[in-house]
Parts: sequence; C-alpha cells; structure tokens
Amino acid sequence: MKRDKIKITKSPSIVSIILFVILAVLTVVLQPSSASLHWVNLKSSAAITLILAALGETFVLLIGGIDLSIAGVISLTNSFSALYMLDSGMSIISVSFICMLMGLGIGLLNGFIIQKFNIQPFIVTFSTWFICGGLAYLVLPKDGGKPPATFTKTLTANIGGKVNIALVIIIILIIIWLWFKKTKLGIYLYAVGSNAKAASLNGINVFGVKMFAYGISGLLAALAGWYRTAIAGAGSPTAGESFFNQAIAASVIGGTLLTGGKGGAIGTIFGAFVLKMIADILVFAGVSSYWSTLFQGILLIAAVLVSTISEIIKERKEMGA
Amino acid sequence: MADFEMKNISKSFPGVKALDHADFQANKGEIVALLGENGAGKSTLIKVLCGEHKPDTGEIFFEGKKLNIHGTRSAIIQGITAVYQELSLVADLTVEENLFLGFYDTKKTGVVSYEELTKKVQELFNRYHVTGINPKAKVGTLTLPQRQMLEILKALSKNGEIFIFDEATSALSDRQANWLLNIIRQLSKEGKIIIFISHRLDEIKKICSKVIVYRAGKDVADLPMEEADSDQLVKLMLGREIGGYYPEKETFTKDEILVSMKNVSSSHKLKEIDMEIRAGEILGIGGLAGQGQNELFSVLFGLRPYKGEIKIKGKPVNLKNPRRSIREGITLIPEDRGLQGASLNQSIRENIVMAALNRITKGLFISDKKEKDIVDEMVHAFSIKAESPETLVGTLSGGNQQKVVLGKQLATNPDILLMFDITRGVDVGTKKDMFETVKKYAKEGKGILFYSTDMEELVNVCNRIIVVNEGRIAGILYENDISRANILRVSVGESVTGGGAGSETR
Repeated sequence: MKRDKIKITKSPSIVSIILFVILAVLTVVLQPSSASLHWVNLKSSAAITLILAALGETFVLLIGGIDLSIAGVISLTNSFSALYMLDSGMSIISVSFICMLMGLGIGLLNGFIIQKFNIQPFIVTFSTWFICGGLAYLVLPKDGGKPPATFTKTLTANIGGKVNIALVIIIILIIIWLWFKKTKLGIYLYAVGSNAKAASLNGINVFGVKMFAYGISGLLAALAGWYRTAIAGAGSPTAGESFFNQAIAASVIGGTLLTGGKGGAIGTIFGAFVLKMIADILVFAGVSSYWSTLFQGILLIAAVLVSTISEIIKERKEMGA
Repeated sequence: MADFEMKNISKSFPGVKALDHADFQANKGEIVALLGENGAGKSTLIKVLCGEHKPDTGEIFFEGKKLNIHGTRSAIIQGITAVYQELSLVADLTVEENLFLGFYDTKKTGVVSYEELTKKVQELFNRYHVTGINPKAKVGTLTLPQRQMLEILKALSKNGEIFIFDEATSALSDRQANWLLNIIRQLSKEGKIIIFISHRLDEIKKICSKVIVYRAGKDVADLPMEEADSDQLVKLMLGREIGGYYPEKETFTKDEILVSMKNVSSSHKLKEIDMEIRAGEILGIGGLAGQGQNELFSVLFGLRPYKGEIKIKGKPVNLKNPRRSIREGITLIPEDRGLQGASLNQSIRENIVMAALNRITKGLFISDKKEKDIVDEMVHAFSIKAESPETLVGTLSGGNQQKVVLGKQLATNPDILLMFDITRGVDVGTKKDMFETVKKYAKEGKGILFYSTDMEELVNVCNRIIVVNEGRIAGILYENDISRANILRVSVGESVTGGGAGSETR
C-alpha cells in the first residue's frame, strides 16, 4: 500500500486534480444546484473542444516540442466543416474525414519540416498557424455557415437521455491514454522528450516518434475545430485564436512541462476543466467574467509554482535521506 | 582474415578528415585496447561501427560476412553493443524501463509487459551480482557510478558479439571498476570481442590482450599487449616523445593559510571537517567514490549550505553562493564541462573572458588589448589547440574544451583553485599539459584542492592528501607516505605503512 501512495504523490497530474476538486467544491458551495449530472454534462460539452486541442498539444510538449499551429488548424476545420457540410450522411462523413486529413497532414508537415531542415518548432508551427488561419479566411471570410442539424444534434446529444456524448468521449480518451501510456510507443514518447540523443542510441526511431506526436496534435486540433462546429452551430475564421494559449495552459496546469519528458493526458484533461470552471465560479461569485483571463493567469503560475516547489522539497528530502 | 575486420574506413566532416583509410581487426575472445589522443578518430570509428555515422568509404566484416549497418538499431541487432559514457540513459524513465529501452516485450493488447520486464531485470542483476539499485527508481535519482553501471548492464542485456566499452570505467569507483573488469574477462572467455577505450594505461595493461593505436585518423600500430610498454604507447599516440607522464613533484607549500575549515558539516554528507589549504599547496582529496568529496567542493564553492566556520586568509566568511566564493578568490573547475563549464555556442575568447570582465575593462568599455593578453596567456598556458581564439568551443575536442574551462576559471586570477576531476575523459597529451599548469599555479602561490577518480593522479600530483570516508576525515597523508596502497588503507580504517613521519589516521 505504501508503494501506491508514493506513486500518486509522484504523479505530475496531482496538482490539477487537487485544483479540480477544490474548484468543484467551491462551485457546489456557491451554486448548490450544480451538484448534478446535468451540470457535469454541461461542463463536458463546454470543455470538449479545449480538451481535444490541449491533448494534442500535450503530445508535442512531451517530446519537447511546441505546436502553435493548432490555433490555425482549429479555425480552418471549423470554417471548412461549417460551410461545406450538407445534410446528408455522405456529406457529413466525407467532410469530417477531410477535416481530419487536413489536421493530420498539417501536423505531419510540421514534424517533417522541423526535423528534416532542423528548424525550431516555434518558427515552423508559427508559420503553419498563419497559413491555416489564412486559409480559414479564404474559406469563410466572416462568421457563419450552417452545419446540418443531424450533425450538431448527434455531437451534443445525451446518450440514453442522460450522459452527454462529450463526457463519453472524454472517458474514452482517458481509457485510450491509460492504455497508450503503457505501450512501447507511449514509453518512447517520454524517452524522446527526456533525452532524444539517448533514445536514438537505444535504437528508437526518434524521427518517427516525433512525426507521430505532431501528427496526433494536428489530428486532435482538427477534431476540436470540427467539434466546435457542432457545439457553436457555426464556423468562424478566428475560432482557434484563443485555443493555443488555453491548450498550453491546460497542459501546464496538468503537470506537462515545456521541457519534455514529463506530464500526461490525465493532467491536461483536468487542467482544461479547471480553466473552464474558474470562469463559472467568478460568475457565481458575482465578479465580472472579464476577470477570468486574469485569474487563469494567476492560477497558471500558481500551479507551476506548486509543482516546482514540491519538486524542490522532494529533492531536498532525497538528499537528506 | 580475422574474425572481425573494419577495412579502409574513411569519414570526413566539414573541414576535418576524422578517419583516413583506417583499419581495425580483432579475433574472438580478444580484449582490444583502442588508444589514441582525443581527436585521433577513435570515437568516429566507434560511431561508424554503431551505426551513428555512415562512413564515406570502407567495409565491415564479421566471421567473413559483410555487415550492412544502417542506423543504431541495425547495429544492435547485428550484435554490436556499446557502453556509452552515461549518454544513453533517459532520466525520466525507471531503471527497468531504461535497461530494455527499445526492446520491450509486449502483451497481446500492445501494452509493455512489466512482469516480464521485472523478471528480466532481476535475472540480469543476479547474473552480474548487482545490488543496491532499485529497478523501479527513476534513473535521474541515481548517482553517477550507478548510472554508469546501468549503462554497462544495458549493453550486457543485448546478447551482442562485439562489445565496445568507451571510457566505461571513468566514472566508477575502484570496486565497481573491478566488477566491470571481471565481467569483461568473462565475456572474453565466452568468445566475444571486446573493444576497450580508456585513458588509464594501468587498467589497459591489466586487462587487454592487444592494443591498436590510432593517430590522426589512421591506425598506426597493432601489437600484442606484452610487447607494448607505457612509454612506447604514449609515444605512438602522440607521434613524439613525451618525457614522463607526470611532471616531477616539487613542494611549493608556504606558511600562509588560505582556507581554514573548522568543524564544518553540511546537511547530510559532511561531518565535522577540520582542514586547511596553504598557499602553494596541492592538497588532494582521496577516498572511495561518493564519500563526501563532491560535497566538500560544493561547500567551498557556495553551492551547498553548511554549518561550522570557514576562514579565507584568516577572515571568517559565509560562502552562501558561488558569487560570494568567487569574490573571496575561490574558483571551481568542474568535471562536466558541457553542463557546468563551457558555453559551447560561444568562441574560445568569449568563454575565457566571461568570468573575468572586470579585469579587461577600461573605464566603461572592454579593452581589446587587455582581453587579447588574457586570452593569449590562457591559450598558451593550456596549449589549447584551435585555429583561432574565435573558434566555437562546441567544435573542439573534449580535451580542448576542458582546457578552455580551465582557462576561463583561471582568467579571474583566483587564489584558491578547486579542481574536481578535471582530467576525466581527457587524453594523455592534454593531461600532461594540465598537470604542468597545476604545478605552475602552485609555484605562483595559489592553493589548490585537487580531486580525481583516478587515484594514480592524486598520488603523482599532490603534496598532501586528505582521505575522507563517510563524510569524515579518515586520515592525512604527507609527502613520502602518499601511495595508492596507503590511501586505500586509510579509507578502510587501517594505519599507513612506509614509516613516514607525521601522517596520521583518525
């Protein structure tokens, strides 16, 4: 039992989970009616796009990279699917498929350029952000589009009239992650992020692992944009702009470091929830919602401080032992 | 034809011909010492063999068959395994994850089988008598010698035919080094080919059956160990005579006490240290690995909080951070030049003057002349080999990088030099230059605290040796009593032999 305890306290996602619990309690205290499945459904639906985008970002952060282009990809797939999706099964499926293909393609392109030409990820993904953002304007110059009701209803439905599909997806994502983390590729992801040179000396295909991470990031960003179409019922060429900051914030609050090799998806998911809940609490507390970005910033630095300080204390203890 | 041959290997990098039609051959069961100065082409040869570099020309044969090596993984699969200088470990993964990294067994679900992994690690530990390492611990929490042991175990787990040990003993204690040497003998009995790279000639003599010497990208000698004596080997490596490996010992110790420590303890490792460093003295710190040597240096350089009293030139001081220590005239020359010492993306000149800017300014501006004088002095003092002072440090060989670190630290004109394992991974030619410089600074009246993992160096360089054990001073050896055997005796609590006067055991 003692070993399990150590494992939990060592987990980098712990800060975000504690924050999540605190905020959840606070929410219930301020607004007792929110202690319901309905509220959980609502929050899941509100957080799902951010969760998808932030998860992708987490993969890239884990290998020690960064992906700014997710903002552009989200705008692009949001605009594209809002404009071109018609009310037929065929159209919905093919447009969805094209969206995912675009995201995957842009992600792989990022990974390829970064590695083949040895350019900093920041610069490469900064450029592809602009390119995708520009494409989004060409597709849909101003907010609009009318996605078919079949599509929007499906992605916002409550399964069995009870559990929102977003919540189901989040749970599935958690299960996939728990599995993935224990696969070879999962461990390689951490190895590459922690020390790419060492990973390569052990015969790991570093190029491939990085391509995978950028590919996943692009794909998940595409899904986030696509999902936004259903939730917002429209497209916007600037839909993704706020996502990059938020995705990084969710990852970092969740314990994923920008230096690579540490962190994971569970923390990111809780991190995303935490960001969304702050806004609510401010509303319940009667504070203007304009304050929420400011509070998110404070929370971000506080979360990082907590994990850094606990790391320092742990090191001191280990040295003292 | 020998069992293993590398033929006619050439490899060029921009501006350098690292390997120039070089050959290498060995038979099964042979332990081959690969010798050469830094930059002689040893590392490149090894990297070609391990699939890290693609050679421009040349072929590799094993048992008469041509090997096609493309990439690190391909080399490993074809039986070539290398022990790196703790380069191939991933700090954020656990011991067991690291040991079989890249070669995990998976279950049907695609998940890595941790049960299998734990079992295999346990077998490996049992087979090679490893204790004291927790397989579930993150590698980042282990000590340097432990990490080096893992690096070795990892290679052993691969069932290779050809084993390369590149400076594998440099971070090990004597006991651990013996453990490794026994393993190597065992591998040789099993008919494996072992390529052993080390700068410790005594070790090479002890274990290797033949020696191949590289110089300037070419093999210049291939002879049985019995036929090679140290002087001859050094000559072959350098291509010229070098008179003796260590400079002649002289004592420049003066009465002036530069550092005095009274009852100094640090939070865990150091206990009640009483010692003095005098001007002109080369004071060695001996003992088994990890007995608090590192902490002693850290305390003096303000890197670790301590209790007790430290006086510099008779004045009580509080060395709470490195800046304070530097201000008191103390400088540290660390072992890990990449991490702690040199700024690889900057030039030799920029590195050398980095810490000494106040010595080269004239009013508000930097005086080019003063700067040039200091840089020239250091480049000359350490015979740093480079095209010009503007060469980037990252492009220099390891030995030359270390010289730049020395030059940088000494450019501040300190009184007290803390030298922590400064010759680690440095070739003989460079070592000789470094020892000469150490002696020169002692003569100028600087106090030098000297630590090395190579006991031979302590014995040949120091005027006095303090032996530490479990964080305490176990004894002090003076002049004539200084010997390898006596250091060991004192560290295990016995008294010294040799009848010297004044040496003491506590």
